[in-house]
Amino acid sequence: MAALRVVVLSGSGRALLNTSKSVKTPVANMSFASLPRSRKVALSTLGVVAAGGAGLALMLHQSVKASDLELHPPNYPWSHAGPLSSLDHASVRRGYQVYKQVCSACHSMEYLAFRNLVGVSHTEAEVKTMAEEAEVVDGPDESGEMFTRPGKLSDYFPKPYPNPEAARAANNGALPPDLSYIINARHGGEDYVFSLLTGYCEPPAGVAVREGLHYNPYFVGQAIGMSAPIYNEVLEFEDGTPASMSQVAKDVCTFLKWAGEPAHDQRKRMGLKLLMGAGIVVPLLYYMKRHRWSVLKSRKIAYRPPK
Amino acid sequence: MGFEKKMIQYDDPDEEEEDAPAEEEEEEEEEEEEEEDMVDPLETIRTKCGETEHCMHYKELLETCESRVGSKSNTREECTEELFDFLHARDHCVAHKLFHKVK
Repeated sequence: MAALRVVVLSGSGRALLNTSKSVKTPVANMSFASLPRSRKVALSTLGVVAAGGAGLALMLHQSVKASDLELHPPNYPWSHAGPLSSLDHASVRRGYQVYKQVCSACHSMEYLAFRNLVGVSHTEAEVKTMAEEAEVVDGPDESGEMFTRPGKLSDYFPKPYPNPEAARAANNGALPPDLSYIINARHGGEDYVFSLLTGYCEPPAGVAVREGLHYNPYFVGQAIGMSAPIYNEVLEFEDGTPASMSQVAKDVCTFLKWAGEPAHDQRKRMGLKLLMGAGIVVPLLYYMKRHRWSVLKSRKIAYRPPK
Repeated sequence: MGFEKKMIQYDDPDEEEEDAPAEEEEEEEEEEEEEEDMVDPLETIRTKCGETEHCMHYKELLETCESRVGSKSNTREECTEELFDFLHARDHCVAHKLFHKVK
């Protein structure tokens, strides 16, 4: 601003060279420039030490507690974990049975329809029978009334509660999350869900869990509203697999993995096809490029001076 | 690290002595339970993994903490950290073995 004013006042650039003489800006002597070197160093050191000390004090003031964190699940060797491995569909089928008989009492899967199961875990006839067991509200009919009818393939999975408020009211204030995409929605994916389902234990000494909550080291805050849902022989598998807790948890995780990513097998198959196709096409294209460019690359440009 | 190694070495002789009878008891239990109830392979593997050198070290820390907290009438200390360390060590061992035992 001062320089601008000088330009405006004097009208010539020459005034800029002599600003110190012509313009005196009222500036307090706050600069280090006038101080001797030793003073400067001392003051800088003091500033750095003070700021560092304040920062350190602030950090030490906040205590870090293990209970602020959660236990991270280990990596389980899932059969579908490999880059070309498909889901275990027998496990998906058992997992649906677990969802149907255990989880669906509280958890909805509102983005999954019966038709999604066809060709994945069940045959069309089986799914039709399963769908018919569900009562679906449809309507309005001719008189404007809603009515219930047996479900069909295109219906979505029936919800245990009509809305989240009802779910909370029935579950001690805790909302059972929708399980459609739960594997994608949690850090650790199926490892986390498996660990959560099998990881219930006694709280360690000094930790009190509130009435109605349960201790689970894998859950954020360690206090989870859901009581241990799976135990040995919580159900009987239709294919005769012994229903131990870990077996049930593994199957339901595989099912949830499929639910969260129905295109899983397709994706890996397409990836393999793409890689194999690219393995042929890319070298071919490279060869063709070299071939076409060989003329250009090997030409010689000579300068012939005019005679 | 040096300290930990020493701890483990000190633990060793006790462990070996304790190991043998514990395993025998376990097998007996398994046999008994199989007649009545199903045994989850997860439980068996967890017990086995909990007895490895690495886990015993954390288990001892956890037990020390629990007895320390339990002996005081008024304390804000909790053993969450020790429990997490122990479970983390045990999980690492369990994760490699469990899926060979389930379908």
